[in-house]
Amino acid sequence: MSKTRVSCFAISLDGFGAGPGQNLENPLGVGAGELHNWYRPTATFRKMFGQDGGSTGIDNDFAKRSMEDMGAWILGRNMFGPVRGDWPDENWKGWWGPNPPYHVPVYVLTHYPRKPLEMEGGTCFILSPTAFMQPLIAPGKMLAKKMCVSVAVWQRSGNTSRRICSTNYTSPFRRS
Amino acid sequence: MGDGENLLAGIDMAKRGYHVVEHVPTELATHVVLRKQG
Repeated sequence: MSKTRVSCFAISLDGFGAGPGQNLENPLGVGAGELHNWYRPTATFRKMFGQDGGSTGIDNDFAKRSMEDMGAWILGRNMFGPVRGDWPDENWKGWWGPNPPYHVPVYVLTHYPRKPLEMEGGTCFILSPTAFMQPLIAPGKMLAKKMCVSVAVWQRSGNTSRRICSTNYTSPFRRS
Repeated sequence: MGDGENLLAGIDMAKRGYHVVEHVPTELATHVVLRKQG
C-alpha cells in the first residue's frame, strides 16, 4: 500500500519552515539554516551527499526513517529554485547540481510547467501543477516495491500542504 | 524565527484527524510524529 507523508520537516517554535527573502545565497530563506542543525551532522544526511561518518543517534534514526521506501517526492516550486513567474530559459535545474540526492521521480508543483528534467542518478524533475496526481511513472521497478511519496516543501509550504490535504489524492504508485 | 513560511497556517490538523504518536527530544531538536487516524 502506498503512503503519502511529510518527513523530517523542521519548523521553528513559532511554526516556520523557511525564512523570508529566499535567493541564491539563502536557499532556505533568511535565518532558516539553523532549523536543520540537527539534520546536517547525521550519517544519513552526509551519505546523501557522498560523505562518510556522521552522527548515529536518535536524530539519525529519524533522518533514516524519513528516507525509507521512498518512491517519489513532491516539492513546492520554491524548494526547487529561486526563480519566480515565467522561466526565462531552461537553465535552472535545481539547487543540487547534476546528481541530486533524490534518485527517484520528483514532482515539482508549479503553474509554470517545463519539460521533465532527467538528471544523473535516477532523479527526474517533473514540473507541473497536477502531474503528481497522474500515473506517469512507467518503469516497472518503480511499481514493484512498497512506495512512499514524500511531501517536502520549504517555501510557500502552507500553500502546497493545503493543496495536498484538500485534494482527493490517491497515489499513482499503487502496486496493482 | 518570527517571519517566513508557516508550515501549518490554515490547516486544522486536529479536524483532519491527526494526532501525536511520538515525541522524542534530543539535544538538537524535538521530534514529533503526527499520524492520521483511519
